[in-house]
Amino acid sequence: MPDVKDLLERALETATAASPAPRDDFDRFVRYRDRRHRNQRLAAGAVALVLAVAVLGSALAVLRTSDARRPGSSGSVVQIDPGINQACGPNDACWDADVFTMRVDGSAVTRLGYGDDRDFGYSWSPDGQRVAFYLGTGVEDGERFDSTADIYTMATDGTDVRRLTDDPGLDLFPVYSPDGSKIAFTSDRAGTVDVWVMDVNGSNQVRLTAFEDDRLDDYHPTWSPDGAQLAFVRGKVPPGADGKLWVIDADGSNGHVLLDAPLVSFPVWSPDGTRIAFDTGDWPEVRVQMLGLSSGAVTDIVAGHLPRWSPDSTRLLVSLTEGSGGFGIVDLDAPNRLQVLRSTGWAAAWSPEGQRVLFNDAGLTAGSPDDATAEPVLQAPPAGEVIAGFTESGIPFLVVRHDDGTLTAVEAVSPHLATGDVHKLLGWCASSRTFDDRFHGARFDERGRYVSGPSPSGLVPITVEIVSEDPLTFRLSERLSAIPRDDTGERPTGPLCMDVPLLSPGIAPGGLTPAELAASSPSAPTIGARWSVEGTLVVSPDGEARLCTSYVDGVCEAGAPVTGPVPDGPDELVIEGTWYVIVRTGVLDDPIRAR
Amino acid sequence: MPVDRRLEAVPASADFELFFRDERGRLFGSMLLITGSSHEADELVQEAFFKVWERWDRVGSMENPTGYLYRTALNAQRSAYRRAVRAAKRTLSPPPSPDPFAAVADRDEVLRALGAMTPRQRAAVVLTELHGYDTDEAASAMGIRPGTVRVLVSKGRAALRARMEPNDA
Repeated sequence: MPDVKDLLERALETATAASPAPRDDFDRFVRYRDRRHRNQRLAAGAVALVLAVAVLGSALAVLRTSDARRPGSSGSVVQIDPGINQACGPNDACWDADVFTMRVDGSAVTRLGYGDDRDFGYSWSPDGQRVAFYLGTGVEDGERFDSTADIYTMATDGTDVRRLTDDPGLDLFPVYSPDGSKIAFTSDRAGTVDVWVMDVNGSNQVRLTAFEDDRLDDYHPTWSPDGAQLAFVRGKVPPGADGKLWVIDADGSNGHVLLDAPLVSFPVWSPDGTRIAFDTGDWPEVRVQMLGLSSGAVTDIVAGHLPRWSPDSTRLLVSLTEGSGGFGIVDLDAPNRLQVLRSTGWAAAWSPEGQRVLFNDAGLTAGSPDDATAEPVLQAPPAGEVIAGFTESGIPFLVVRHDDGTLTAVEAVSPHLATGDVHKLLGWCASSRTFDDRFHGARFDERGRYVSGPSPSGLVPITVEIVSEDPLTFRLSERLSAIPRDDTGERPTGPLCMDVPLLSPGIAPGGLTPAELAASSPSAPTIGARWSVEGTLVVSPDGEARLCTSYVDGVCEAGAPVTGPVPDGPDELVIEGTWYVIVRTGVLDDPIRAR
Repeated sequence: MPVDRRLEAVPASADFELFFRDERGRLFGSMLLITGSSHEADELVQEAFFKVWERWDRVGSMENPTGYLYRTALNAQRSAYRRAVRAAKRTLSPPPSPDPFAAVADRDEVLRALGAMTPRQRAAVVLTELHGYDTDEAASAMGIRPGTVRVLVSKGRAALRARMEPNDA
């Protein structure tokens, strides 16, 4: 055998060649160092604040809700701040995760707080009045929470924060008992990772999984609906996790393995007591599965992690492992179909009455109350019909009203070849009731699900906030992540549209009414006004795309910039037609010919 | 066995950046061999240098600041805190990018052989065989007794030999 040192030198050479140090090595370290140093100072302040809270009790609530200038004050409406995570590398921790609630339809997103620290909501009290969360503080950056974490509860409006644990270890994953009197959690305070239980006021903290041979870690507890048992994961923590599903009586006796399968995480007992859902697998190929407690059978549900039961045990909230995360709902009658609710963050709990979701997110900032009304209130079309337009931020949309009266809004852009700044607009074919990509033939059903043709996914839904029921009016809200392609839609039953005009925000038959046109002078359009114009869209890779109302011999004589340059786009893309435009930046160069 | 010159004294006046640039690559490689994960190795290296930077006034004048650096990295690697954090991190982090080391480790026979050792055996073997630490120095860096280091090195060498010798035959 070769000399061991030679072997190791060879291995070292191979290993470092496979994972070379980044070129900006020291600069990268300096950024890490500065963040760590800054966070140490912030952490000292946070600890002082928390100590003050312990003394002042409910005074925190007054402080928090009365500080109108502080982003994220309780009850504010939030919007995505795309910049907040852009300075962070994939392994960095420069984020500020917070606790939020929203209605199950995605509306009424409300931030519960907790300032600049990393706090993670985890469970909802059985009476629906409070949520339990853990707050990471300390000095260990480079992780998503720090060297210590403690458990707190707060009212569901973000007030009345109460600290339940206070020790140097990590106290995580708090779950209320079904009767609301106790909270189970995970802690490493004893030197090993164990499940602990305490009274709901933080007293009587007891290590539940005090096994004689405690070389394994015990974590992620969940209560049985009768409160008599807890299921949890027992095994070595990741990486290299081999956690198995265990169950133990609530008095700490009779611990035994329930499911001898590897890589189990985050089990959660169904409210009807018949099943335990969990996630399993190596990240990001994690799947949600379900153990039937009477049959012992394991059922695969959907890709994702962190399952959370609906109160009626028929549906699961499941968080996504790809991209920026997000979460959705899967109906157990239709596994593998996830209805996406949000494209960021992860779900923590379903409220006991089933109307709200507790979730966590980073990259959200509070907006002013005015932000909530930035999108105009629109009147819903009749059943089976569609309206088209652009949002105030310039996103083309189509909204269809289904026969059952509900609405679906989608981004009117084909996912096919959706790169660069100019995308293919979709149209609505009334006879087949499909959204069609007229350029390359992809079709999507009226709920935005993929049907046929070239497309990597279904459409991108936009959240609809109902403003009034009669008449039905609504406001478009948040753009979600695309519906997965494997969530296929229904095949069209009516005739396909081939050459007939489609209703589209780009080519709007009829456009605006003459009365609307007469209301403004074409030479001085109001910012935010919408216009239907005839023109030629000229797209080139080295300049702004322009909508030319007079395009002669390759020269755009007049027009308005409508978007940015197209990287790697065609030399020049010319599309003539009638365009539905929104005036966003000021007076156009030249009066546009409205029709 | 000759001692790795990199583990010998660095002048007290050495600039931290110079120290970083001199040591970073080899520390990263060592942590890579010990942990088998470039993500984890990178985290450990950043953290170890941060701790050294915080104490550079003192560490920079040490007889062997590199030894302190390795001890700090190994401390971070074995801390119970980190194990618990990683348990939760799986669900709280964005998906990690594919680890380029994993694919190479699957193909390279020495790296595969190292994978047959326990992490503590790998740490002991890397410190003593690769870096030339004596048993006491390795024990100090790993926070264990010298006798334990000898056992770990012996078992690690045996594991390495068992994996490598059939291919040499």
